[in-house]
Amino acid sequence: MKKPAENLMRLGAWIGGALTVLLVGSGVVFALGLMLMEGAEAGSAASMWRLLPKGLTMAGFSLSTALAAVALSFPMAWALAALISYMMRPRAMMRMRSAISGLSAIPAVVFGYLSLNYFVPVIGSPWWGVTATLMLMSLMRQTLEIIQVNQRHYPAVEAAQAMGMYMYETILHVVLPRARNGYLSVALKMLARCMAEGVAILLVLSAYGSGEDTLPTALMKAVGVTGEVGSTRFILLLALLLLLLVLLTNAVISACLEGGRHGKKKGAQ
Amino acid sequence: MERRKALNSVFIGAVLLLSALALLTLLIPLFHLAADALTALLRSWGVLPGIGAVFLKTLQLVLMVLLMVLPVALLITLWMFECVKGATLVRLQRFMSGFSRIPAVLLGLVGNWLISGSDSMHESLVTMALLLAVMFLPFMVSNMDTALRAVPEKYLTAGEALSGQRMAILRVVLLPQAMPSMARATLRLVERILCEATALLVLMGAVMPNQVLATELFRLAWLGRKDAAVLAFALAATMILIRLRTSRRWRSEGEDSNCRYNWW
Repeated sequence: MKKPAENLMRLGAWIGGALTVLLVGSGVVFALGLMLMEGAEAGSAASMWRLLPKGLTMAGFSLSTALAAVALSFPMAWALAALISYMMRPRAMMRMRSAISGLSAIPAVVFGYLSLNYFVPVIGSPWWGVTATLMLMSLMRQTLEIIQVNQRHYPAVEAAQAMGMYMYETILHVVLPRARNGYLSVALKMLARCMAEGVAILLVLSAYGSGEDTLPTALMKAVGVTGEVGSTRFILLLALLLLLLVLLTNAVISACLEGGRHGKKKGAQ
Repeated sequence: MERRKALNSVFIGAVLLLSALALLTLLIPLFHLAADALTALLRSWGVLPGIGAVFLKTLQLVLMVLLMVLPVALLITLWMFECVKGATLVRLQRFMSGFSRIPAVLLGLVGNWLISGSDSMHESLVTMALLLAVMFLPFMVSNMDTALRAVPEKYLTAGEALSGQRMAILRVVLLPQAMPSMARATLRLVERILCEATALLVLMGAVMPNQVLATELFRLAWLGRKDAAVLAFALAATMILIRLRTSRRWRSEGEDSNCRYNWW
């Protein structure tokens, strides 16, 4: 009875889906191609090579600040997550988790503003200023994700507790070996976020000339806040470097999470 | 035994200390921000209508992006669920997941290139919404696909056993079951539109007076204006409220579980 309508719906899903993927995909590829062609027209390969050291210095600054931010915030986030997951009573745990979830939703641009007003005047050094800001941004997001990783190991924790293990023994000898991959993926994801999504923070900081250029902020400055395009070669180089950095981080995350292209690793989270 | 007990006490002490440090690092600046916002408001109530206009424009942008993204994402998800199988499906899922991680700054650059030369396009809400829609489409498809595939296989089998047509099962059984996850994904999309639009919009040159929240905060911070604190606080409070509302309303089963032992 309903067959014509069913067929029509299926046909609609087919045509709509295929067309959308085709249109959006080709649109993005076309735009990226256009950008690359314009960039290639604007400058020779030799002049691109001359700009490379400057671009690499910025890439180094981006990577080092992101790494330092994750290295500093991870122990604090891990401790807070351990406190919430394993030491609190269920009701308090739920409330704390909700609070952490709420705090982790604060946008990056607000963290930039907070850091600019309350951290940067005290710290002084550009490198430490950017690192402290990224650390502030990643703290609660990491805590929330580590709590989710911890919750997967409740059965093992309960078993260890029933056998009379102390808390430090349970966490160090039972939870840590099981959750190692999960923790690693949380840290790597945060590294990628610090490099790619921390742009808003860095942008607010750089508005006052308080920081050295990182890849995203240099890109912003080259384009200009009003949308005026500066040196095309330099922009193209920065965009390519940023894209490569992000693709590399994504590949590492995917390798950690799924064991690369060859299927899931044993015990991977 | 005594040594183990002492080590346990040291471990708990270290965990408590680091936790307190983490909370203080975040809460102290937030309290300062709240105080600054209150002071700025008490000094000048005149900033409120301006902020109201910015909120309205942000709401318009969010609605436009949702109207552009949701139907298209649903169509692609249904197509992937029904018509794509095997290696192609895995490749498509990888493409969507990878594309959703491309930094906003690069898409902003593409947008800038596409609309360069036209001043009116830089401040047009439709252009902003279109760019944001392209940016968030893979994220939404990826989430909707996950939500649809998370529905237990037994529902599908039961529907087929009752001789239901494939699309009827999808419409009557699978979609209603996946609806809470899809609603949660939509709210995550709203969060991302409000949070991550800054880089993209700034790069496409949309930093004009009285634009959306994300760029207005950036513009006021750039100018060093004190009422930026009100805007920053309002944005943070809105995001916290949306997140709390989402996590309470769409809390999934099993999230209430906890270790029933008392460590103390």
